[in-house]
Amino acid sequence: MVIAPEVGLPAAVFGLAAVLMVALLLLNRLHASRDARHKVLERQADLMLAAWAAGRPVPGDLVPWARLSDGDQRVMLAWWAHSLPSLDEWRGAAARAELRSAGMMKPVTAGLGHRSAARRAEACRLLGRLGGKDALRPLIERLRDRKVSVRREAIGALADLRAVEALVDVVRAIDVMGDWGNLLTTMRLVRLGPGAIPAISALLASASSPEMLKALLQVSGRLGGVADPDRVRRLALHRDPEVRVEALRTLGAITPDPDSVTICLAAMDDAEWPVRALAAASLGRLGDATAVPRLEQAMGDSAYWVRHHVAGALLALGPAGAKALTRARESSNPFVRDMAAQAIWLGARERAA
Amino acid sequence: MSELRIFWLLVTGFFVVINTIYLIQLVLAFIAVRRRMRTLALEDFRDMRESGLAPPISIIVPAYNEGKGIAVSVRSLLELRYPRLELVVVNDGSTDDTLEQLIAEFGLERAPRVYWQRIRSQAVRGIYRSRTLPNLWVLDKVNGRKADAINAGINLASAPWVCVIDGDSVIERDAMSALMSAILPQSSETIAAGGTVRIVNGSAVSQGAVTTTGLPRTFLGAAQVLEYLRAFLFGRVAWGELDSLMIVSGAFGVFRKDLLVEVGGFRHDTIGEDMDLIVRMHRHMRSRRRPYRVEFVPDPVCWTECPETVQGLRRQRERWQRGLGETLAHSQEMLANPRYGRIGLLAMPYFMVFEYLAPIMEVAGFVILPFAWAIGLLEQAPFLLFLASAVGYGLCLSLMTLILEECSFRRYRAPGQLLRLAAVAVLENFGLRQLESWWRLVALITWRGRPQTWHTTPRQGFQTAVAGR
Repeated sequence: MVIAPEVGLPAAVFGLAAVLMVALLLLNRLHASRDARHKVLERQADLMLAAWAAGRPVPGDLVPWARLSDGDQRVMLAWWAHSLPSLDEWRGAAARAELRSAGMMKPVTAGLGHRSAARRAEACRLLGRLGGKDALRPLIERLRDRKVSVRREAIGALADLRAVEALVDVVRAIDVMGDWGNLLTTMRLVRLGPGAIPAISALLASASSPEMLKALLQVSGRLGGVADPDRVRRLALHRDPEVRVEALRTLGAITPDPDSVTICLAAMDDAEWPVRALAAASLGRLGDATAVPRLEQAMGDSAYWVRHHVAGALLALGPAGAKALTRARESSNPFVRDMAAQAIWLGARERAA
Repeated sequence: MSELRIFWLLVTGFFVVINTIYLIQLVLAFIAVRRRMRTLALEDFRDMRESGLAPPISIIVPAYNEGKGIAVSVRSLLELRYPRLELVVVNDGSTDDTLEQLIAEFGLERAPRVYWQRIRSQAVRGIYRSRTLPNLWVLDKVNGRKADAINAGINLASAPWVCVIDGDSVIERDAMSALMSAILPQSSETIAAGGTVRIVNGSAVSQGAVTTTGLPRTFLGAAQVLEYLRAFLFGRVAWGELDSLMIVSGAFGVFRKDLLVEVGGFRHDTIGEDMDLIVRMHRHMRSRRRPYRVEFVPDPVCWTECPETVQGLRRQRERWQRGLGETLAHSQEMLANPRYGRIGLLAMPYFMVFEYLAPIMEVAGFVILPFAWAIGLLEQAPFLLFLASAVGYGLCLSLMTLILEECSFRRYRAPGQLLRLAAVAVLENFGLRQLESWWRLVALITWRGRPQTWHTTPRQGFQTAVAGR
């Protein structure tokens, strides 16, 4: 039988539309039933978590969960990964141990070798949040995964596990990926926690690329300490202005020190305005009132953001800074006057708050 | 007769080419959305919230006569889960009680804030800060249109990233974190990024968040839901994949502030200021051979109201068409110019032929072909074949978009909603599309010399939004 094109083509197109419509409704049905199933499981898990928070994980609680289908188990593991931080450290550790003894981590460990990169990345994330120290070796191996996305997840997972001992491998992986400029990677390193300060400081001592230095300084600043402040002070004189900015920011975030004040004061004469602005902000955080005369002088800086940070720093430096701002309020320079007025007003509001 | 044959071939060729482009876009969108969904599977943006390294963002909300919904919008923005936000609401000389609403609702008081006018804007009448919310600033200025209001907001903003959001919009709580997490891996190169805009009409909004997603009651509203899905879920995603994104929606976009200042901010003399800005950014970066990226991220969502009356829709479509025309006219030297890479050789020609000039072909097709068939110049069989194929193919594309939505973000979960959208996909072919083509053609012919003013969709206000059916 020959079908005329004026019938065949529209019939084919509308036939395809009908198939798509059926597919859409079937998918919707499938997703709805999956959602309903997960909702029930999550409710049970909620109850279990509440009981654990009140007492402690009961051995065997999770055994029936290990019999769930692979897909359901992955969803529930994601739920556990999300919810476990609500438990205190001791109960969290007990819950993780319970997950392992119930056999629920087996598919996760197996997932590290899955042919799909998404599954490997997912396994890394879950291991980071739910695994123990035994997960370190397979995660370190994933740092050499052929997919960058998996390597990034492995870095995050190792940081979640506070695996300071894996930092050398992590740094090598970041070097290979050329990922020092990726702020998400730097954020992951922050997860290592204050225990990583000596190791990060050691890396800071040997690092040379500006991108790596910036990232390590950011991590140090967030962790609130460095083992060798002298190295940071030297970096405040680095040839790259962005490194100087980060070094000054870090100096403002770590324990105040007269040498840091000296470095920040010297940086107030830097040719780059972002460096001068950060030096002023750090002087405010370091809280040394001897910086007031130099800051008062810098109120007349040509760059708006420098004046902005200088005014903020003076505000933070107590009575001496406040007096300097009052004097600046009477300046003949309108830029100085306005910035001082803004800072005085903000200070008054913050005190009131 | 031969002229008609040529025209027939032109229409058919246009139809085949544009639908092939749509099909390619859809395939690209499936790949990109799937990749993004995998990234999002376990993402809770905790690094953004907890690391202390999230880049600060200034959100700029230009408002003109938004008294009805501005407080709800601002409250929703203050609830965003992002650690370092500054909110700058710019009251662009509203004639209603927008400023009074803000003062009363957020306890504003006048602040002696320094206003550094790096981008030209109308005079500032006053700067206010909330007594209770230190990150909320309100700038009151003389009316100067939306672009002027945004520029004034950029002048006041203190963060290195600026996010522009319409005053009548609701942003999802994690939208900013999602947008920034997509930008950060290449943050040194990314100059702008946009998220998805969806229609809020018919959805329930509570405490500044969409709590139940519904469809608008009217056919026009539902048709726009489908249209936005097609535009954002496969159009923008695909252009982003091709590194040729020409538009970041003015309703929800993030920009690098230093670059905004470099290009002189938003233009005052165009109605399509959002598209114009991105095209100028492309030109600026490419002519200086600086590496850059303009990203589209499909998961962060901004909910906005759409016009549900014929008059409102007509005005909106005319405005869009005129904006497109102005942008293409301002940047005509980029068209088909290899110096501008994919933007000049791919995106600009596409927008010129298949967006800007398309109404000529569409209206001519809608008028001439049925007429030729009616008077017997065109045989019935090929005419009906073409008509059925056009409708059927459009329907297939819409259904594939719905499947993409069902496999990814699933904002419309009820089967009834999907069925209604599918019905709309059929019905929009009989009247609405023709009407829109006609409006766009009229705008194409008459766009020059029209005065530039604020155009706002009449608002219901979110509190009255109806829960989804």
